[in-house]
Amino acid sequence: MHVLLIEDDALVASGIQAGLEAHDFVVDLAMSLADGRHAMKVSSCDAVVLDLGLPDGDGMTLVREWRESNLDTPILVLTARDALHDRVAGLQGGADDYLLKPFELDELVARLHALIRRAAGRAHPRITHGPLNFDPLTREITVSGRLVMLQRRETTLLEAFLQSPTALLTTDQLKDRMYGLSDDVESNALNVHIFHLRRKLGKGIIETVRGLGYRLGSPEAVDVSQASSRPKE
Amino acid sequence: MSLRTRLLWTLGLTLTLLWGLTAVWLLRDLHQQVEHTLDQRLAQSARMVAGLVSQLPDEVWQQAEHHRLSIPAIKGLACQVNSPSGEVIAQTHTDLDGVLTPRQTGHSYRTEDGVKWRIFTYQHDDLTITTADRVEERNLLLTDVMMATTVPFLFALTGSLAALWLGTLRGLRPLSRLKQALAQRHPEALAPVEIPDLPAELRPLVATLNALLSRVQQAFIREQRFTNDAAHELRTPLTAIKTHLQVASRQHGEASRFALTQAEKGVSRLQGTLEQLLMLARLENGLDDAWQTHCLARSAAMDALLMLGEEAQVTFTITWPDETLYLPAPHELVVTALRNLLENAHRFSPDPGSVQVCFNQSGSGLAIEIRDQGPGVSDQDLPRLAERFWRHGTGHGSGLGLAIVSAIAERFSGRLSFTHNAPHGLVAQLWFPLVEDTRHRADRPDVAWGSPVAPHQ
Repeated sequence: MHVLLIEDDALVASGIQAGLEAHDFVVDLAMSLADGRHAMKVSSCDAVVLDLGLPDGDGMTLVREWRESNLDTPILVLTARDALHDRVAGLQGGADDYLLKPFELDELVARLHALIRRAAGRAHPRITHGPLNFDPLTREITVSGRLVMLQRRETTLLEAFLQSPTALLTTDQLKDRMYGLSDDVESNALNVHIFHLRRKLGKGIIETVRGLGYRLGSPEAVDVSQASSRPKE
Repeated sequence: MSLRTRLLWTLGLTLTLLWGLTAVWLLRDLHQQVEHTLDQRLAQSARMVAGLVSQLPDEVWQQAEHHRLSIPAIKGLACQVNSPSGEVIAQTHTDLDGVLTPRQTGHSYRTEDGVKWRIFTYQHDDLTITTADRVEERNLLLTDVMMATTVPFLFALTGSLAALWLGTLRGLRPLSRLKQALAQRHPEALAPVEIPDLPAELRPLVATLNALLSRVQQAFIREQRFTNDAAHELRTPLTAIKTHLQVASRQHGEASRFALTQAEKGVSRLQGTLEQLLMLARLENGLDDAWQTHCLARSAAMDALLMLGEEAQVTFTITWPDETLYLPAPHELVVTALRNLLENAHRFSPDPGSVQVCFNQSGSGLAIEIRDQGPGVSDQDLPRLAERFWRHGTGHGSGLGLAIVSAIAERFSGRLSFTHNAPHGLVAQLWFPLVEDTRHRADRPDVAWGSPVAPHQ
């Protein structure tokens, strides 16, 4: 999943970035309002983690701007100011969640997952697709109850498909989900990852729509025999 | 006791007492006057009868020897004339012989058959004239007169009390309104009190109250901002530390080590901010005993410059102070103030750049001027430079450095001000009064400093 982190304090930002990356998030870092605004324009992300005190203004201006332009990406506000009116103003201004610094990394991750899940319109944290079962929080993928080992990028790619099971996803959209703005992406990287997914989960798991992009295959296409023999504990 | 109750009691009691005393005095006087007047009437009547009797022709006297003469009765008055031999010559009432029997001359009281009389006996040409008034009737008259006097008094007193009550109530109504307005306020409300049509006496009170409220509100806002800013400054490094530690515990090898290094950076930053906050608190709450009362300006300047890092290519051009100038502040604090100013100039200087430091003795003070060629600040930011937690742009440090300089200056009768440098940059001016008394100089041995040079270039 792709998260835009807007935080001006380099030390805090590097910590959150490392923490989120450890949980398989793809993180873009912006250190000012202007950077954040720009990052939002050039790439799409699943959620925004926003610090309020930014050098060129209050983070809430971004929230209002985005909400006014009907951008509904979930926004989690981070702030060190705990005055009640700050919190209320944050949520009323269009933010979806609020976390007071300092926080538990696990809580941030759980909240981000919940926000993204809710934005996708799912009530249950686990995503199922026929015999395939994916837990976004633990990153665990099982097929008929058996664990399937996927690499980090592969998981992120699969997650992108599972989150929009009927949508046609373009190459650019998929790359946005998988890579940050600063990542160097090789031209055939996406093809390689799709190849691996098909090998591990069945040929039909991802359908190619020629000239347009890809979409998630039918639930029946999941190859049950490919799953590892180790049953899920 | 409320002001209204006290006013009503004091004025009411005073009024009642004064009116009462006046009434008692007046009534006593009136009583005496009426008694006197009635006595005089009695006497006048007797004299009149005497006058009349003495002019009676002889035939009448002869008749009188045979039967008593009858005098027509005056209401409430009895009269009898006795001859020298004691015989009754004339009388108004035949049944009052006992009452009117002559005694010694003058006024007297006499009780006959349970009825009290006021008697006047008068001797005239051998005749004794006795006049008598029934005391009961005199008292009735007296009561009438008293009543006629008392009723208006009571009316006036009641009226006055009512007027007092109404007047006090009405007069104090603005106070009640003020009281109500204050009572109805939320205890934490700091908005100005607004009451229409206040009397002139209350207007200054409300104005003062409002001025105070506005000052409290400003202080409250400042305090809130300070707490908020302090929370931010302390929580941010804490967040960095916590997050990096959590990352370190989940990662291995290089990533873990890197996270730990970052966490350590956060710790040093938190420590720096805490120490600066404590320094500010100490400056505001009085001096450490360990702090001296004065220091040598030159050695403080030297120490401050030596403490600066040597990494940047910034040239310091220094005009040193005279070797014998003493400042009225502890050495450590002057060093801290100078170091903070120098670090600030250093931080915002272009690389390479130059900073001019100038110590100017002017009259009774020492002005320390530090000019940098950095970006400077805008006009509206100039007065905010020494505000706590105010930082320029993305900012470095905790935003407390200049606040500390300002606090040190204020604590020791100095002052800190900022102006723009031409063409760009900032000029910080720190001014301290000089210690006049040369005796202080013996306290601290003069350090022989070498030729004035910039410590690093």
